Amino acid sequence: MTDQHISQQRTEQQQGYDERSALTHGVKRRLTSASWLARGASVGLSCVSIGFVMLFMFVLETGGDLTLFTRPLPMQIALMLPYLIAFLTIGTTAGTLLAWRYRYWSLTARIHQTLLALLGLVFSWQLSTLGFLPL
Amino acid sequence: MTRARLSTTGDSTGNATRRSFIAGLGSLGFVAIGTVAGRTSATTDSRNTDTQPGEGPFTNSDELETFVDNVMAERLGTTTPGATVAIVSGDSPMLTKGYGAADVDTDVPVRADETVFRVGSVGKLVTYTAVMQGVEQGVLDLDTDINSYLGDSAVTVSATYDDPVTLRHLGTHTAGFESKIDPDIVADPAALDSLEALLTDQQPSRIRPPGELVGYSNYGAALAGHVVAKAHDTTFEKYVQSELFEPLNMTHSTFAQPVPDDQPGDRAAPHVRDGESFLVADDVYINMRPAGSLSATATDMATFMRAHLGNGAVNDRRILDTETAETMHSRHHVRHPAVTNWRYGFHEYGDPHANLIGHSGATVNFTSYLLLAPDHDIGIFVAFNSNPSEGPKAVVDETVAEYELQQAPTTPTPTSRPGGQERAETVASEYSLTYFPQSGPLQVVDLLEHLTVEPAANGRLRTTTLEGDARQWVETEPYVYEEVGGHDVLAFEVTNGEVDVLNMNSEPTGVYQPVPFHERQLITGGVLGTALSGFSLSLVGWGGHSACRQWKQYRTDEGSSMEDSE
Repeated sequence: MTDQHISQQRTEQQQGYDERSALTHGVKRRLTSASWLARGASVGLSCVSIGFVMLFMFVLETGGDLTLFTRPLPMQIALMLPYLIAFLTIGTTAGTLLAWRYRYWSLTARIHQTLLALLGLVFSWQLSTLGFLPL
Repeated sequence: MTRARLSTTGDSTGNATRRSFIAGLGSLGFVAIGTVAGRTSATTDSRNTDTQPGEGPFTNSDELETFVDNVMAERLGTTTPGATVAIVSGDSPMLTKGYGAADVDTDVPVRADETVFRVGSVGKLVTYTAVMQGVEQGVLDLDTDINSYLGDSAVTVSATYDDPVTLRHLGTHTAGFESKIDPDIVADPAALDSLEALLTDQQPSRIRPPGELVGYSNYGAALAGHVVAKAHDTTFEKYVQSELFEPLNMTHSTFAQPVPDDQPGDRAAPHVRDGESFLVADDVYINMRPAGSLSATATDMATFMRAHLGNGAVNDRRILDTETAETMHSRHHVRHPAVTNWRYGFHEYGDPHANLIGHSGATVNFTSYLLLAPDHDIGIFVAFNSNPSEGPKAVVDETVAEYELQQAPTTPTPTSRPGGQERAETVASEYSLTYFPQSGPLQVVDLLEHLTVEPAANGRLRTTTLEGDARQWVETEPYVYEEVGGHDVLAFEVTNGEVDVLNMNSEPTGVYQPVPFHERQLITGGVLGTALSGFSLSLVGWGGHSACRQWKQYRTDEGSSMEDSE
């Protein structure tokens, strides 16, 4: 093996370390970044809310009405999602307050975040009215 | 001769998906949603109003058999793969006959005297008959706090209200327990609990003072069965076996689950619809056994009906004294004089003045209906081994019409009392039924079943449901409205200009109460729809934004790499 080969291999290894390090650093940075968490909560809220409705309807359609009573695993998972929605609503709402307080993002993004928080709150309220959340 | 016109209310052409959802829930050992089909019974041909009811069109059982054969021929293979029918007149069975397949896989035919069907909540009539035996013997009393019978039991009814829950409340579904719809159905018989443990673990909240409003309760029926067992120091199943089934020689009847292998007879398999055909489904087991685990043949149910029509006895076999049977068949709870009310365990059917009493039943994939016409000594029992939207009650309806057991409806005469339009405005609202759960995910059923009442012209009312059941009503007395073209009646109870309850004749298992504004269908649907639209648009926006950024990045990278290569 020539010096050139060894040098190239070291460079590749270094690049690999750098990428992993950057990734770890990126994840850490995001997990400790309030603005990123605020946006993440609103993305999560949107995904989980739609996912809940789709999964609930899918289980009812495929497993029949009995699934509401015998509660197989997919129905159990579906019925756990409203709790996650409530948690993400709290996160989105808290993120909205921080966004206005510390002026995260653009004005448009903040207004969007606020709308999502409001939608999360009314969605959770109706989930509670329908008995999916024992509030 | 009057024939019921079926499906005239538009129920049968409603939304199939929603129907299957609701029908499935309705099938779970409780009657209420079965009245979707039941309302069709209310509509009869009004051309025959001159005919006196009860004359009876059948001079012999052959004519009856031909009639029932025709009624069942319309349904076999399309509505249900199999059915079993018993019609008794006085002290003798007029007809007991099986139809179609007990099991489509094996093609075993249904035999009335051999094929055992799960009859669901019709079994509650057996449970309440057992209660009345205890009353007759003096070991039970209809007006005593049931906690006094549960001294050595882990089950105790909480003292939420001053008035205690009594057996009269349980037999009329007025105990005020919150409904859970689900009689604790399990897919695995190993998951069945003891009745005592179940009643302790699954105890619902008391949400209304006892004796006030009807709210169908499987828990209440199961509790009544437990009280019977405790009063006689045995199990419910053993008591019923020795004190009801054996004396009546109902050899094919049992509350045991699964039906024991040594039980005589065949078992009808449950079926689900699969396109144009039927598939055998897995059976389910009902933990609240006195509320709905009875399996029986049509022949056994004929004997049970004969015992009730015979005021407690079949030939020399007696299960109740005449006086006790009469007490059981008399009214125990009046919702409103203008609508169907509650006897003990039985509810009234159709025209509240016709003295017809019955009960429907079902498990997930079985349905049944039992009707007694004590004034005419006629009993009708029909069971299907499937759970279609138009179940056995439709067969009973046709038979009732054929027998002319109730007057055909007349055109309602509007009340002469002024102020009809104001009263119509007063009662306009959205209403929900008491027998739906007030907590848990099944509340969604309550939402879907709301009834909307709106004023129409000339003091009339118009009612609608999400399912598309739209009906017109004429006010015949203040706050009492009769259906145009049907037997159904709405009776409102109004205090100081506010509706307390709405009683619907065809819904004996509950009463309607006004829904708060924020729980109305339009609000809930609007909020949920808006929220989901907002979430969806956001995801689409984020996705588009991210794709756009990546595309720009790609173009930038490509541009710089071309510059490098140059």
